[in-house]
Amino acid sequence: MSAVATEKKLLDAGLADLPDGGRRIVDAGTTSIGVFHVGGSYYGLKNSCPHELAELCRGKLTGTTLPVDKPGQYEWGREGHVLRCPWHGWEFDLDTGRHLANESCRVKTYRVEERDGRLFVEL
Amino acid sequence: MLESMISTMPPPPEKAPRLGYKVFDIEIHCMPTSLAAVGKYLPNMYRPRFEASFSGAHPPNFDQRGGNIRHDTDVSDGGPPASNPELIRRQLLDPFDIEWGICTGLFYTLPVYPDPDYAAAVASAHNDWMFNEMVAGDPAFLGAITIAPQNVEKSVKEIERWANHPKAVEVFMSTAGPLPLGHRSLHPIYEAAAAHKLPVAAHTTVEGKGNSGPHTGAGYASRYLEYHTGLASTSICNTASLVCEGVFEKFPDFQFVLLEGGVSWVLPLMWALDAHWKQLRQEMPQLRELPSTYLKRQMFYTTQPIEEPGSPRDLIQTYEQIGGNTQIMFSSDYPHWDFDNPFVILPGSTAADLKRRILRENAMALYGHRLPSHISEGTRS
Repeated sequence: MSAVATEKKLLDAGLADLPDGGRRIVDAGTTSIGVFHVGGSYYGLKNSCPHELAELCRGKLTGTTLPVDKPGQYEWGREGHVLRCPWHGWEFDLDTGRHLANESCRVKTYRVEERDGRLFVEL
Repeated sequence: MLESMISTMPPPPEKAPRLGYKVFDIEIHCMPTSLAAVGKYLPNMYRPRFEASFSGAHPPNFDQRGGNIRHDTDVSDGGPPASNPELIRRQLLDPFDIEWGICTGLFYTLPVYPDPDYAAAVASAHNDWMFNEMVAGDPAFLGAITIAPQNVEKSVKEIERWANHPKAVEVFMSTAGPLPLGHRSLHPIYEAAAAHKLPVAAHTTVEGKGNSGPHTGAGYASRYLEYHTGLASTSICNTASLVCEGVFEKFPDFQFVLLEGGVSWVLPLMWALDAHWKQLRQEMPQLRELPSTYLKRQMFYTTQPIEEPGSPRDLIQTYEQIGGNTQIMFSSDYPHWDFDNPFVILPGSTAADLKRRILRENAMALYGHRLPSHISEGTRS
């Protein structure tokens, strides 16, 4: 396992000074990655919406209406864990990268770790 | 709140798939920097009304996912979205290889205004702003002549006022209003447009507002999705009206462009019109060809918002059957929230020829004769 781990390429994503709810978009060569800080955890997502290639990570970080049993019922949840594309509003789960309405649609996620006051994205 | 917390490193330019040809965008919703920018062209009696709130008190509306503007629209100059030609070039024209873009503006609301004189005055002021200011902002910009069709006489005058402007390429109005668009009261407008070889473009979305009927054929909807998909019902009725009232037959040079009205419903409409015309043509003896023949020749459609069946092949087959090789054109709808990326909306490998026609050639065929002659294709790289 350790041999595999050492082969992982880490991308320096700058100082770990993002406020809660903040984000940074980092250049990863051929791609671009959004790094988010929510509730003490860091998240990394590919900055490209699988729908029409908008810069997904410039979208709003929000919550959503949760599945309910009856029309007219509303329950808000997942606050801060739903990323909405700035173009068509597609909703992605920050934790898994999955589209909320289409399980087969997913945006690539990256593990982000904090080390010595800096953030690193595992490529 | 969250947006203010964003700190960014500049992202790399997205590796955009280049097409090998330039795109013609049928619709950019450019805006004035302020109401005063248009209001200054109005007669004194209308200026305060317009600048206070040009359309009157805003009625309650549907949720458009937090506004109708793309959330990443470049407003770094502090102005309204799509009001600064430099920013439109930076965010739209350059990244998407757009050579020509028709600025339609936002005043497709005018046809449902109750006051026909005020509506015509605003149309006129808007055109002054459009052709004196906006289209001068970038060589790629072309302009649409906004009219208020409830004032037929003034609409005809407005068309004649701008028809010879080198950047005026079409007449622009709404699909919504008190009557279907084929109604004979509107024919003088179509006659004037056709005489000047100007297509008439009509935009959906003010259905249910002002002096129009309900949002949908079924009445007033509750949710944006119902309303938005229901706009096809207006478009179906307007298309049938243009055919059945004989507009295409009466004015062979008349060309109609449907903006933001969808496309795929045209196929079953053609089937139905053709089938029933054979039974019912007695009522419309002026029609000498199959309804679909008129549509395949004189009716044009725009892609945005692109329809997304599970298999793109289904869309391509539908497009081919309704005459998409000549009649369908790309529109971005920038800066609105349901903007389409021309590079990805159609399959480039399996439908390369149709894609090129939709993204460029069909619009060049329709508007090409009106393009500024000093900037023809080939002289711009």
